[in-house]
Amino acid sequence: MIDDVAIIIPAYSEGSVIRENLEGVCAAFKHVVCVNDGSPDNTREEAEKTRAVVINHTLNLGQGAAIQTGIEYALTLPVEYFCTFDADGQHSLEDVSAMLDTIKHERVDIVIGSRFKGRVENISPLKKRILKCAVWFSNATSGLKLTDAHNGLRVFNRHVAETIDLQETGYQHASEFTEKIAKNAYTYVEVPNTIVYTDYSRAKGQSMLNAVNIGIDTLIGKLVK
Amino acid sequence: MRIILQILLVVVILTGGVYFLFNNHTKAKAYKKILAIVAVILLILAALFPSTSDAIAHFLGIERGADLILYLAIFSILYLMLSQSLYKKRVAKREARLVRKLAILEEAVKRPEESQDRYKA
Repeated sequence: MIDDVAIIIPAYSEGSVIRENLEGVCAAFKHVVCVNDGSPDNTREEAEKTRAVVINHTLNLGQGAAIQTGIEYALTLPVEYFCTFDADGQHSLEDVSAMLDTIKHERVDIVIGSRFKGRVENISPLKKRILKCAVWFSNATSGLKLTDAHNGLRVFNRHVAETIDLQETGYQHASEFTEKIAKNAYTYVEVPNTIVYTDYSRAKGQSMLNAVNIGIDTLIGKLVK
Repeated sequence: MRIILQILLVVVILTGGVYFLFNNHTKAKAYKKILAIVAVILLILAALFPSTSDAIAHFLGIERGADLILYLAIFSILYLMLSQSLYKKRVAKREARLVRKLAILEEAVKRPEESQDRYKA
């Protein structure tokens, strides 16, 4: 069992799948932190049936806030690495192991998963196009050269965990993450990873129109700062 | 009829001014309070003596006093929208920090020994 990484899983209304997904992660990793982001369903109860540490937001704040809570808690654990992992089962544990090998051998601060370097299953052409636009937009605003802007699968070291301090509470945290990689000059590599869009994850995922919201909020955020 | 409307306007303006100065906004900055008092005086003058707003409008190169008041109202609404939105964002950030802190503390209370060991380490 791998014990030098904390797997951080933000969860909102994932009651029907969270137990199965957490059990899979707990079988491979010693430190699993699930942040229940004020779910109105039985996500908390289902998650607490597993070995994972379950942290509960009393209010729904958003994925960014849940990830930051998970990072802050995980910093108290005896681990060297941190991994953000989606709760809906679209990420694979093999990819996490490969990313851990990469961060250890390449000695970078952060390893980011890329759908477009790897394999994407069951993605609609529209979603693929919008994600490509998001990559272009994110690279233009952050100055980085990434192939996937909003991939939730990331492995990073303690230095990143201590300094990232995500302020965006919602989905915009993904843009903030890439911006802070540039701003804090973290060293990074992108590795291919496989994302499987199941009927469940497609139904749960954010609406494609939300990409417009994220883009506008990111721009306004830059102007208001 | 005109007198009634003028009285109504003065009452509404005074109520708004008093509400701003003495309710909820006691922590408002001094310059905002001074601006509010000036605005209340000017609005009452414009309500009671419409020709004064015409005179100020002409002085500023605007044709009618009513247009001047409309422009000022639009600027005020835009300013309020922006300041409210920034305020809402600040409150949301504080709320997020509070909820996150509470969540981590709850976990520490649930598993006191483990948490103490970890924090010591």
